[in-house]
Amino acid sequence: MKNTATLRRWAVPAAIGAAVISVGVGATLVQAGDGESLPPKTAAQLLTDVQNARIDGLSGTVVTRASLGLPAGLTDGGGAQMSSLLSGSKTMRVWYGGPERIRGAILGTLGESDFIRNGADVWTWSSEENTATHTTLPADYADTAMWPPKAIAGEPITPDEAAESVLAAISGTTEVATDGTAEVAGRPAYELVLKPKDPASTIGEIRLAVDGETSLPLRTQIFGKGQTDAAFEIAFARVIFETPPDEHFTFTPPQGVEMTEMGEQDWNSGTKDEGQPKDDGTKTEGLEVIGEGWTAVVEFTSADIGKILSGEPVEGVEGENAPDVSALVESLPQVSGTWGSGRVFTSALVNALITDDGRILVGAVTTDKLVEVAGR
Amino acid sequence: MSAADTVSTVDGGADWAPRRRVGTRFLRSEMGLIARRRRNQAALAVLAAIPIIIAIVIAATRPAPGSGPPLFAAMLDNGLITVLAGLSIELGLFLPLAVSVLAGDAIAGEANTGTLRYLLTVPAGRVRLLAVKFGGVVVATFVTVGVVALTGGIMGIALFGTGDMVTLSGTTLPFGEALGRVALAVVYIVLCLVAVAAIGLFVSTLTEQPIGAAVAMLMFIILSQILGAFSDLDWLHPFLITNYWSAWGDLLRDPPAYDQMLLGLLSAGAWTAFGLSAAWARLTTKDITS
Repeated sequence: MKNTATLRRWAVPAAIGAAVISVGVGATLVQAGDGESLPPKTAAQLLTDVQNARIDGLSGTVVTRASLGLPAGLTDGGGAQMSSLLSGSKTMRVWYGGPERIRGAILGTLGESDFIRNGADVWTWSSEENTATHTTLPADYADTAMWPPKAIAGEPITPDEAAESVLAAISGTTEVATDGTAEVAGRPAYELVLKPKDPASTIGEIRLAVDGETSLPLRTQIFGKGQTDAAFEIAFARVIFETPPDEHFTFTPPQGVEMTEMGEQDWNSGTKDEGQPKDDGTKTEGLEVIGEGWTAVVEFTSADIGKILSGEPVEGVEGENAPDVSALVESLPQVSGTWGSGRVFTSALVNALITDDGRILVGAVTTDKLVEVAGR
Repeated sequence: MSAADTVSTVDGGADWAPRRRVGTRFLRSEMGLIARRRRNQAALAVLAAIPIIIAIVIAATRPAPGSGPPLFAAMLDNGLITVLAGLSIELGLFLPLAVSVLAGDAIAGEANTGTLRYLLTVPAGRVRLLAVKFGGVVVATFVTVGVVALTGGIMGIALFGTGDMVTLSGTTLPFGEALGRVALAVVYIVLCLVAVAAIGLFVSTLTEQPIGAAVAMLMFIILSQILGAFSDLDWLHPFLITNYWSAWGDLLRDPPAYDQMLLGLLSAGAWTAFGLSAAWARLTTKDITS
């Protein structure tokens, strides 16, 4: 009898623990499960709606998750820098008050990196570096909307024509389909699936969750071939479709902050802070895109690449900023082709080929394809 | 009432003692006991000294903005940051340690000195004893965090003044609003520690060794922190007791972000409910022999 009595009492904490765990696990299950029933839509309709989505304003929280299988040394985990988006999970806050007023903030533990555009003024702010930059957009750009990007919006034609033309443009290379509904950030959404047809692509599929009401893509997931977990995912965790107040788009650099005025001209030449490796400058010169669409490969050629790989000092990349990758490169598997030999770096999504003659080829393609492109 | 319930009443001890007027005498006596212990006074003095030391070191070295741990350089502009810097340093080990020791001592300390059964021979039910012990630890937690915040605030304002507070988002807050944000952070940290007190109280009912209970509780917290550092275990993180402890930092954003803090309050509430109910299940069913 005593055992029964004791068991009854212990049932209370056990029930509390079970309830908490099931609520916690249930929350993730609901996100993965079906949303409310939405009227069925074809892939073409969805594409049309995405292009015509016009959002007046929103504020929300965006979470990115990356499991690209990169070596730990290449990515840094804790901070709020842009490069930290490459690994693990990151949270961003976004505010959108029309095409000219945009703010994004990458959150770190007791740190934050902000990007604020208000008309012609573009600010960046890093709390960890205690630095801010200010760029004035040239007059022609000041009124230009940053969203939707021109590549998606294209020329104004009727919605149906737009959808047809997009479908026609991508149908040669891509399988487009819908796949039921999902719930993202508590909102029912359609799932649109894009699959590359080229077998050389490492991408299995790209899934877009399109908001049922506003047609804004609420979640984008990129799956490697044959993988059930997304290699990269960006999704709203919370979103409110209301225009945020003006104060969220104003920025005044606080006193004592290291302030860099970028001026007007610097807009196109990169906005890197001092002390960062000048990868923009060295790479854009010797950069070539080979092929197009899903299996495009980017080739970097620069004398500096050879130096960095062998651990020699490179001008502009000094001290602790200089990545010591020679040991990492030597641990990579070797491949060879008609063009010579090199080493391949593989991840869940993106593969790279580093040739001994100082070229780097990167693409979401199989290593065989990289070897083939290198000898082109 | 079923037959089993009747049995449990008889068997489970004196928790169905005659209903009495609920006074605060028992709680006041418990708080007096905690406050008068030399070891507790010494621990409080050490905890209060830490923000003072931090403030003096920062004032002497004046680190360049952007260097050192977060918040430290920002302290130079606004003394209130000293409160948060002090609390964030102590939240790593000192504060959980202090709460673990107090909670671990609550029941096991009485059992260890053989006074637990005498406490229960006074017509004070086991449930009431548990409530008073928990109340005592919670009040002591409030006082400890409050004292640390207060000494940090006084020292910080004395050394660094009451200038505008720069948020993590790069905006500035006037002193009044900054004070409100810091006060919210202090309350949030206390509530996180109340969960430690509840679990610690449960561990304390499992043993007659107060040090063992405190060490076990501390090991549990450090294990949580270690598991929280593995990004591959992110499915587990929401269930860790320490997962949301640093969420008070979201108060330093502009506008403040409350999502993580609300989850943190839910987490602290769940851990508190679990700890208290487990402590109740244990204390009301165990044989008190010492």
